[in-house]
Amino acid sequence: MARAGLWGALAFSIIGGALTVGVAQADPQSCSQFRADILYMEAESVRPPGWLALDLHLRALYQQECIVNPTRQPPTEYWFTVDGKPTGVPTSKDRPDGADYATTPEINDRCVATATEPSLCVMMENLRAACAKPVDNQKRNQCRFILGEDQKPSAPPPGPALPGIKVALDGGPFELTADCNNVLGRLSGDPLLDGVSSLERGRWQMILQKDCPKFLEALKRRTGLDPDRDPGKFWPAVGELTFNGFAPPGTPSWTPASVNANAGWKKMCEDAKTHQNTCLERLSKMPTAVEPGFSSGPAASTTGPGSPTADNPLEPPVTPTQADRYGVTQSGAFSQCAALYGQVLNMCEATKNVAKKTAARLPPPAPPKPAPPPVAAKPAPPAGGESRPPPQHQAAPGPDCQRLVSNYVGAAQANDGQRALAGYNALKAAGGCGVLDKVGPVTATAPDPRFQQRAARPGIDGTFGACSASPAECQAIARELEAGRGPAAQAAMMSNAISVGLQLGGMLASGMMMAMPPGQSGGGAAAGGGGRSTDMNSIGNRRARGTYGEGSPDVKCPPQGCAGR
Amino acid sequence: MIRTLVALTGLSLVLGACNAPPPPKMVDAFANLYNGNAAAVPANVPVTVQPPVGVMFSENVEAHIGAVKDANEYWGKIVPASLTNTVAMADTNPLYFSAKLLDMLKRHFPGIAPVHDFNEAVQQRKRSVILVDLRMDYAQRSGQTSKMDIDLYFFDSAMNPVSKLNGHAEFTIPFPAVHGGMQDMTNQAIGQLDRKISATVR
Repeated sequence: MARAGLWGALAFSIIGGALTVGVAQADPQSCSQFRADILYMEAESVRPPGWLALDLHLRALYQQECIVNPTRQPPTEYWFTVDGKPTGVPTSKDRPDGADYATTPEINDRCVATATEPSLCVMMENLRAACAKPVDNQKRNQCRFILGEDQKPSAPPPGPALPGIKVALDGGPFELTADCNNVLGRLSGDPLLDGVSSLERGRWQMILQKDCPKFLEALKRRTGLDPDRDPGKFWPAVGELTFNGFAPPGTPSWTPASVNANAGWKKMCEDAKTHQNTCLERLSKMPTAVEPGFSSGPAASTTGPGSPTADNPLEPPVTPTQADRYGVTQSGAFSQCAALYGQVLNMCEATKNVAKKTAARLPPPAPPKPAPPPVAAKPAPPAGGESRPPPQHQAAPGPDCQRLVSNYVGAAQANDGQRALAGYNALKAAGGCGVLDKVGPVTATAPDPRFQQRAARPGIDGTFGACSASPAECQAIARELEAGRGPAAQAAMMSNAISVGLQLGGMLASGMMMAMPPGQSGGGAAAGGGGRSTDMNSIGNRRARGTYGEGSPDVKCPPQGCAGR
Repeated sequence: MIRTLVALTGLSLVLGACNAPPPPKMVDAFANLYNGNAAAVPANVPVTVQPPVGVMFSENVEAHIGAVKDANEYWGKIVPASLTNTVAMADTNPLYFSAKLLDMLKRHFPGIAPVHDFNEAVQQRKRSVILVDLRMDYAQRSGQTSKMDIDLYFFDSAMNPVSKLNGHAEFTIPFPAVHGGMQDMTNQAIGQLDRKISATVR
């Protein structure tokens, strides 16, 4: 029963760890846990229909979030008063009365000790710290100016690569190729395999022989069957083995029906549905550039993402990525979240369908046995007292056998592989009718010479496959892309570009002011003394903790605030 | 080609002007899928498409998607994130093409589903297959014209190609410009295909 609990605790915890609703984190701790969960699931979980797709999705997420675009947790910051006294309130909470700026205790101590105006020092030190130890591996040109030529930023380290998907079998573990894994995925997706052609079985065998011959030998040993001699038993046995996650011999076996009826499984599916709905709901509530409430111009006031308040809490830290289409925007994060839970739901739905199908195909319960006939008096033995074996019932082909043979031959003559295989199986189930033992086992037919076998195509699978699986979501993304290319989006992009230029200029000007001795700065409040103070935090070019829209940290939130998106 | 620097002053499209990844070379629509010559398939022949219908995509489609990804990565390394041309990225996102094409095909063939190759189509007992090919002629800068051709190859139940329909679109990049008109071309070409399917496919 240990494996029974895997549904709730395993697959779902992995998904939860990978991407909680609305928050995408790929710091080393989360990635390490994510990696361990993936490997644990591959080693221990049963593999119902759709499992392989989910596993590959999780692996792709790990690759994307933890290796290609690793991130790290930003340091914990606290609010401080204008003269550098700590309030003890972290920036994850509301800004307390009297708080002037936010930074780490280390930076604050340094600035209080060395600067006459801690808030200004903190502003620059925050920028320097953010550049020296960035939260992601994005290249930031402004950091070249801030750090100088000699200091290089310390990018977050990528997580360790995942090993190939392994299967624990006697003689292993075996690390399988993608094609071998696809065969296993296909096998576990249809445990009865009664609609599978000999052509397809031949193809599976060819793939296993070519790509993972040792694994094929291990399968033969474990099942005690030979695919050449008894393909009708070998492949269903492998399918059952795969479905049960290659559990050791003696482990109670699971079927699609028993998995589908499992309470933990049901809860996982229901939770996945709830979470997917949450992601889709938040995605649908996001304003787009064409909506009147959306403002993407430069901040009109000094409150914005840099000044968290109750009405304007910090956004979840979404990491802009370069290589994927989802991670760039907040809406992309919601789409990614929905797609992930969609994979779980696909697995749930596929398992439910297979459970129904297999239940429908199960043989009807055997009728009660009739009462045994009264014992008749034994005939007298023939003279001589020798006993003879009873006369063997030579099964004369009855009407059923004639029909079965006729169906099989007819299908074979019509070159209909599917029907021929079904006819063969039916004939075999009827005991062979005295004719089957005269012919050899069904072997794989030659592949169609017109067709070429094509390996996986990640681009096509990732776009057309995804759109076909979730057409509504895909249409929503298409609408978003249309809006993202429209006149409003173009205008917003121009504004953003201008805003970035202005920021850069302001930052450089601040840097030059810092370099000037007190009293020579043009008379601004920043360098003044004598108790004058300026809330530099409100205009400071603080490090962005989250991104809104297309990665522009200073884009103003819409009137309804940035929360909940 | 995808992420381009929108200079604060110039605002001109600099697609491919800075040693960007070269555009992919187009191959025969049947390459790696079917032993035959796609050019030999007759065009605009009326066909009957029987369900279940499978749809598969040529190597040119994969190459285009890869080219978009490569260009994103290339420009992502050059252009600061804050100056990313998000408009061009939205314009070229392959999901747009995918969503529009599948939407149109599903309207005509409601149960249509992607298949990987012809072996899979046979295994799934598809009685018709539509092979989608995308041929692009990428413009490099303002004043040049991009060309898009979407070809649909129809295969009967014996998996023989019987007809081909073409949707063609062009877009001349204006000056200044911030995108290459991929969405416009996609809509135009798919619109043509939509009308041709209505006229020739039962």
